[in-house]
Amino acid sequence: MTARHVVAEMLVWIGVALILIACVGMVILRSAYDRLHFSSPAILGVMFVAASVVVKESFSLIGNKSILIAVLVLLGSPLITQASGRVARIREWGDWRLADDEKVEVEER
Amino acid sequence: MSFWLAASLALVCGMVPCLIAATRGDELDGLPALSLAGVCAITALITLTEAFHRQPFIDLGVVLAALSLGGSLAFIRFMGRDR
Repeated sequence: MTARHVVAEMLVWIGVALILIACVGMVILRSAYDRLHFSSPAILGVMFVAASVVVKESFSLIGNKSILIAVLVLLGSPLITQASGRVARIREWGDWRLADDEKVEVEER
Repeated sequence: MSFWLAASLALVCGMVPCLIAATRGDELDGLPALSLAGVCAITALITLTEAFHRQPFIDLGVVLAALSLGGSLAFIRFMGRDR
């Protein structure tokens, strides 16, 4: 067992653990706003798994494609999170902007 | 069993809570769970590629990553238009 193999295994398990934590969080939390927070550990998990493939395979075809997947997820997930949050607010309040009767404390500087 | 295959199995099992979460509540509450299930599937395809040394699996992962993004955005668009 080489050092490269050990590092790849360690990275893949860190990545899988992060994704599984996000999956469990989805069941525990009920609201869409709360659930949206769990996209971040999942993105990090995909990046760890992609990194483990690169560590094992170096920059081969598989390594490069796993980097491409990580980049797609890294760029796509925040987009989905932001769009979901926006739609959730529109469905709840009719507009995504702060409503007049909404009680939110804003600190003036 | 290699650790890649074990990781794939763990990720496929991770899709079960996502499925449960997606079926509870309204469609907007289920959307984050749906997109996380997509992430699980993409990552499982990466690890399956390494487990079986079959390159086509990672091609599926690339296609799924692109389609999952497009599909989720289309879903969100229709939900916004619904009101």
